[in-house]
Amino acid sequence: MRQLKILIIDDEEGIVFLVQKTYQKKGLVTCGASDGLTAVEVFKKERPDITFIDIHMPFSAIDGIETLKRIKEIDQNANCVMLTRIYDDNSIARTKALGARHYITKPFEIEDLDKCIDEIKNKGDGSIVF
Amino acid sequence: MSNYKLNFIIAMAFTGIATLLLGLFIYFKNGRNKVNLTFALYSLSISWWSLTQIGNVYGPSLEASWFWARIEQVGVVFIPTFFLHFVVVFIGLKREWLLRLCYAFSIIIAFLSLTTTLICPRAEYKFGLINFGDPGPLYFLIIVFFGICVTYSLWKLLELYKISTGFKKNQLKYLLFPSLLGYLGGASSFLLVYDVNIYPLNPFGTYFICLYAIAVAYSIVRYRLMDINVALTRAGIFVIVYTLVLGIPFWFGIKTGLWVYSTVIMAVLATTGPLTYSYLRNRAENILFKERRRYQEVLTNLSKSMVDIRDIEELPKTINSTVVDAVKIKFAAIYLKQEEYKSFQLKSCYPQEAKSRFPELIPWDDSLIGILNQRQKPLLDEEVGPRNKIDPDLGLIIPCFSKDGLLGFIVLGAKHNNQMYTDDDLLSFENLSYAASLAIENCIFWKEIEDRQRKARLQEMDTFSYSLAHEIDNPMTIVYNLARFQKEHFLKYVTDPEERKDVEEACNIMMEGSGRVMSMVKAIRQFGQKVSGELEPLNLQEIIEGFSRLYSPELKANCVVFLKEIPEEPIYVQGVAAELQQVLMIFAKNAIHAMKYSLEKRLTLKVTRVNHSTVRIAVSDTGYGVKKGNLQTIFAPFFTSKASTEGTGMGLHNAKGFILRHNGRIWAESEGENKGSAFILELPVIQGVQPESIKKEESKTKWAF
Repeated sequence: MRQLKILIIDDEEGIVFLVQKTYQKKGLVTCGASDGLTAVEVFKKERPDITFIDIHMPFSAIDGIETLKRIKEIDQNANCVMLTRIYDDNSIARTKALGARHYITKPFEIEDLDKCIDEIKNKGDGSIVF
Repeated sequence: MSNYKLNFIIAMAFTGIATLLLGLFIYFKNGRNKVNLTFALYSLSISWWSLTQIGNVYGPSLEASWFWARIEQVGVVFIPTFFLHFVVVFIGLKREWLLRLCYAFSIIIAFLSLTTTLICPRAEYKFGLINFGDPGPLYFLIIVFFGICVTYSLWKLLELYKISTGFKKNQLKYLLFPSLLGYLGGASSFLLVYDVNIYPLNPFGTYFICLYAIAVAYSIVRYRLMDINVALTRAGIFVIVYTLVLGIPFWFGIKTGLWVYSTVIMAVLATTGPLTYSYLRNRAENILFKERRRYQEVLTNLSKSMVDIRDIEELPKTINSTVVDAVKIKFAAIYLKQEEYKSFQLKSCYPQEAKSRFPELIPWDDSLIGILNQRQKPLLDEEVGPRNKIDPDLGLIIPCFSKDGLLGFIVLGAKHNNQMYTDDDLLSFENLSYAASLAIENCIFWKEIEDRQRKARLQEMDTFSYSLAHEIDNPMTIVYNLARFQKEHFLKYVTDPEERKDVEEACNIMMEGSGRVMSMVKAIRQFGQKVSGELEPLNLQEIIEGFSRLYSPELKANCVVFLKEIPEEPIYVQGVAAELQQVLMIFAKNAIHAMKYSLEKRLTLKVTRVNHSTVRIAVSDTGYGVKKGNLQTIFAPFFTSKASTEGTGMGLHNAKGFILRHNGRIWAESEGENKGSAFILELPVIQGVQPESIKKEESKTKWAF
């Protein structure tokens, strides 16, 4: 049985640290990146089951939307969850169109992430197994 | 009567009547339009010539023919003048001196023709066929004048024809080539004056003038007044139906002699006649105007639903896209009145690609606004005039009025199939404009209410923002200090070195994060303080620190790199903290806007001591820069390079006011467009300030505890 692997992409390093450490404790494999280009490389190498992407990354060479696009080019079936600021309907609509499965508005709690992971796990195509 | 004479008279009569009707029709269509007026005069002069020539040719005696021949010359000599005038107005040329000269010449010749024998001394019976005028010693002047004027006018039309496209090209085609033909044919009459008779040019050449009139009439029907279709269809159906209603019983009566039955049949048919007529009429019109009915319905629905839209940004977009898609036109744009710029401003344009043809602002005193205010109804392209700020490209401009005057206007491009807007369309759009006016006023009304409510909410918030800041500060202080406490006292109990590293890192992140929040709250509180207006000693470094805490998130959100170069030793100035911060924010806000499309976005704040009594703060960006001529005017009120939704044009003006109050100087520098700009202020430095005398917010807190 393979362990679930998650990737967290956020330009706020504290968030990457928080998510990674929390899910490591819960027995998941985690990886993280704090800018879009690195994230795409990490995705290529690690092939995570679930990817959390922060939409707004002003000093990253590519923002969250572009990152999502490139990840989807690598793997059409990648499960991506967007992290957004509140009241950002345009970005949410765009990422939905690009194939993001969920979005979580900041500030979030770990339970919000848990819910997404559970849902993707249950509704998934069966390739994800604990 | 000879065939020759008959042909001549038929051609002349037809030409005379056709051009007379054409002239009257064009005049009554819209006589106030100069194009229509000059064309009507031109047509009437041709008509004058044709009809009087009949008198000339058909005159019962040579005496009578001579009388008509002299009157005829009046028409002849005005034809080229009116034609030239029409062409000048139609194309939009400026040729006033030329026109005056031509009119003067025409009037003189007409006068000479009527009163002297210099133009037409007598009439003769020529070629054994017709009576015709003889040339006087000055008659050649008419021919020379005619030749020059007409050639010049036709040449100008040809030039325009070459560069025109679409509908206008067609319109010109029907004007230019028949005119050419008409003049060639018409000129054949000049030959007769000089006793030259070339068969078949004479008399058949004159028929070409009829052809000209028919072609122009056709072009009017085809390209201007589609509604003639309605009239013709209705009249046609009416004639057919009632011919049958009356004809069948009559035919029956004649055939059988049973007039009683015939009357019964007629009664039955006459009862069904109106029904048949209206049924057929509806069917025919449904086929003819299927497309138009469809979009008129869409426009009606648009009018109904417009009033429900409360967002002044949304309304123009909805109108534009609906009209463009429903009526199938090339583009649509909406301008709305903007009090603060004393202009009409482009609010929305659909599709986006058409934006380049519209200026952002049209001042209130522009000639276009004058025309709209005067006419107060939808204007066709040619009524707007050729040299205007907006070229609707054969479309329409629809003004929207309220009781306060012109609220705005809608510009519509030509239809995709190059068909002209009909009178019916104009009526629909006029109705649409009333609904649009109401909707615009409605939006403005709601915006005012919302602004007022928002202002009230902000005021409300202002009263408790101080305690709110405290409420944020409190938990943050706890988080910060507990994280620190944990790191200092509990970290040593974590045995696993890997875990210990994680816990330490977590503590650091918590301290850094809560510290960031606290310093931001402090900056907000400082900025929001009530300003007494009195200048007090301030530490410049702290002012700048507060500004960068407050504004960093905004700079970050816009991907702007922010660099600071500030000397180490403290600098003290006399001032109001919130005002100085506001000036820096105005600079930063302008810089963000100026760098919107820059590849490299960098904002640099540099503080230097100019001398012992002056400090200079320069805020420079890598944006689109300031034009040399604008370096002064940017500080004037209402100056803005931004779209109206983005700024008030008051920022730099206010900044200047603040800095002057601080006894400082403020100016802008720029290498030119796209080379970035720098905004610089100089403030007097105060010497020998004791750091303790600087009022600090922290000290208050200390006192409170």
